[in-house]
Amino acid sequence: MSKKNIVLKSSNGIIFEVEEAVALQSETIPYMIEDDCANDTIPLANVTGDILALVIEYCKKHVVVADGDGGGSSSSSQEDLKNWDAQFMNDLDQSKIFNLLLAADFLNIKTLFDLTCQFVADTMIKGKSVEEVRRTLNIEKDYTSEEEAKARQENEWAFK
Amino acid sequence: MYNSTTEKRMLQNQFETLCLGTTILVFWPRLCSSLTSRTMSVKRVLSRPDKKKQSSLITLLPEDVIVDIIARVPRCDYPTLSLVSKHFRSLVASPELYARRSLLSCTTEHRLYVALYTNKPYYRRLYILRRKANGNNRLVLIPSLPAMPHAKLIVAVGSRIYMFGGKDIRSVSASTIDCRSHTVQPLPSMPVPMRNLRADTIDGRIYVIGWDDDQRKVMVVFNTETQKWEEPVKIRPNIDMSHGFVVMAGKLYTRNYNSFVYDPKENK
Repeated sequence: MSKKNIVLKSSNGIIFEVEEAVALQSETIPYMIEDDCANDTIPLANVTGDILALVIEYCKKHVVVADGDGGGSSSSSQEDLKNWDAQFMNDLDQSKIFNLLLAADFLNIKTLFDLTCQFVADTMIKGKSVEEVRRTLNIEKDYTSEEEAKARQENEWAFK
Repeated sequence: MYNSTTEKRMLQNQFETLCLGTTILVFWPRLCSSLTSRTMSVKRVLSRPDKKKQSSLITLLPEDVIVDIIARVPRCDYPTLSLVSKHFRSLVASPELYARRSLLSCTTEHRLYVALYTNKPYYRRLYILRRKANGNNRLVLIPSLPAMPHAKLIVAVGSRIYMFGGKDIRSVSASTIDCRSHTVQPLPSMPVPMRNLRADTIDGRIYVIGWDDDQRKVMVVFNTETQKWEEPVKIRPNIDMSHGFVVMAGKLYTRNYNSFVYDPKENK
């Protein structure tokens, strides 16, 4: 099968040319092709260039394993991929992570969406105190003192 | 108010537990959401760029994406999370979150509910076991659920708790607690007033056994799928169920001097 390339254009006009198999990990892009949004270039009005570059980096890494479904993907390569995913996420700052999450949601790339959600859950919320979560996610306390006391009471030991 | 000495004392004396497998069947719209709604949700977020610098990035995500993140956090972190902000508190209590969790996890989530008696007045309140990440367990009162009369019969099926009867022996009241939202909904009244209620479940049907006004044994059947009562089952006078009964392999067994078995499939 001859390799077909797809051209994607970010919201700030940066052009990326990728193999079809890479782009088709997004369930949104096929609709855009069918809708004849573009014969040559698919405009992605919601994704900036730096985020699209990350999405493509992820999809390129994952396309190889998806190809080898006849037992080609050994457990070691699955393991490698997991490590790669962890490293990939660790290198990102919070703003990039949330924009990547939005892009994965918009482009409907399930594995990337799952990975990003899980990363946010594990690194920004899990096992943290109320103050730590507020600080990490930059959330302002909107409880009044009485409301907070009441909410805390609901989680109090019923029996000491 | 939760840790009153009365309740503490009663904890040592009497309690009953309901182990509840919360198999949640609500279908989460994400899987079937249309492309249009996704696109719109992203636009909705991106149309507020000015706020982005000062405010929290996570709160700029579409609501269903935030739910997706919280669904991946262990449940023992939820009490903490509900104290972070009012927004998080409402998300933690939302039925959408539980629907999402049930789709994400391959296994059924179990929760332990405990009904504790107070002796003044003689009522029961429902508590839930909360496990903390450090291994500590605690029983927490569910404030949204009202106190229940002592005589009320409690049965757990799926993600619901069913309650039959009440304070008065002539009570035909029936209601159910949706454990995803901890809300009470009324059910059709029991077909006959009964007392000394006992119950068990077979294949999604609750078999409630008791005595009617004329001292006759009655068995009524509640179908949890249709949420309706079925035809009452006649019990022969020589069958004594006063010592209770057990359900094994889809049949109901009881014994006094003789042993009896009831097979719902054959209705005898």
